[in-house]
Amino acid sequence: MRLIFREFRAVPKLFACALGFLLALSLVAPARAQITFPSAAPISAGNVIVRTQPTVTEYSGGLQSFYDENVVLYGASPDLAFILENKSIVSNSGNIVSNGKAAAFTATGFGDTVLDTRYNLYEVDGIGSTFRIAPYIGIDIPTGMDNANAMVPRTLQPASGEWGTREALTSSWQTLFWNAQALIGYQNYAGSDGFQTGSSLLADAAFHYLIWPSDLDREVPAEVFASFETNYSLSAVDRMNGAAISGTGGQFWTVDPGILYSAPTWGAALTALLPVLQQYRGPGAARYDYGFEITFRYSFFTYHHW
Amino acid sequence: MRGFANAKLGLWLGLGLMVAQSLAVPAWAADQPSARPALPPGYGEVQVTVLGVTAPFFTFGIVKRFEQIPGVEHASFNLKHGTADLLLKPGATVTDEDLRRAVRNASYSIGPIHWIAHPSTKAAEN
Repeated sequence: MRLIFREFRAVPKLFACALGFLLALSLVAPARAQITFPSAAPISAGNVIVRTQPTVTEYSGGLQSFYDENVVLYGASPDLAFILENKSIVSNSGNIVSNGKAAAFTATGFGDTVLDTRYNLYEVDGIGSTFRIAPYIGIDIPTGMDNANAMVPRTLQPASGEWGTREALTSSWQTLFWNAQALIGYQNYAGSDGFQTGSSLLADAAFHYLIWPSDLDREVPAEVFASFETNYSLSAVDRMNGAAISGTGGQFWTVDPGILYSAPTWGAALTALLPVLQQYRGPGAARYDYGFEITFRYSFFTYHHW
Repeated sequence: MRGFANAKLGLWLGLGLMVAQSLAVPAWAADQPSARPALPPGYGEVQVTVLGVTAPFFTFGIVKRFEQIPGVEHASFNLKHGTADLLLKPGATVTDEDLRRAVRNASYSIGPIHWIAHPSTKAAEN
């Protein structure tokens, strides 16, 4: 995408481009833990669940990030599920003010894809309750645009351009009136064109509490939950040609209150993403202020499964 | 600190929702008693206890699995009791094994199976 300068028309183009590049370099989008992480919740064989999650996040320093993540879950067998996560569009934009003049940039394009395989390892079912533990492994596939705007640093591109792996253990304890989920995982990247995203340790937890309806002694058409999620990541610094990129890596922790409507075939959720802790390695990170995520989910059934 | 203050606001909001829920049932949440229609002549009915189903979102999978069994006309699920009610067509030859397979394919565990009326018997009587 183009680097856009709104107020620099009087400045020679070359100088303006160089200045814009330096300004952009000083902004580093911090790593962010994943919201609505894969849980160990049951997926019937043949069941397909499609989810889209447009998310807007705002950083101090004028940086704004928008992405739409699409998730497809497929129950291949009663215990095996495949999860495909793709960021169909990612747009990072900044509007930096320096000496009373603004320089704006945008990097928009396709994001990367993750393919997870989840296996239901342990299961205890009761009437109206289930506890499950499921490990999963995932592969990061560089399907996105890692050079959408040549003037923008790699950390602000829509995609990293790297292959990667993700290993996690997820558990889910669900009852009729509340459910709790937790995940601990590790993510690392192979690097591409001299750039390497730092590996991360991920720890996520979520709690959902039923607020409607109160009577479940009938055919329940839908439910409304209050949700509270927390995401923590501890990351190594990103590197360019072996050198650490300042303002990357470190600790990042958010809490995410929200509300969730869930019917048998579709659902919707609104979640706020609020930072609790941000500790980056070195100066230059754009500090995360807040974010909002809307989730739409549609579920349908196929007769094809193992 | 600003982030922490926002987080605290979210915590209080969540807590408030829980307290409000425990104090009163809102008018819009009033439930209607479920009507149980009489079984049509020749039809059968079986009640299956399914363990592990906790929300309408999950009933979708189990109901679809039951409705895949040849001879099942309709399936419904009661979350509180964890029971599925299956209406069987006249002459249907649904077995306990069919029901067990359906429950496992839906990724749940099966409990007691209670046959209220066998369709083949009903069909012969009518």
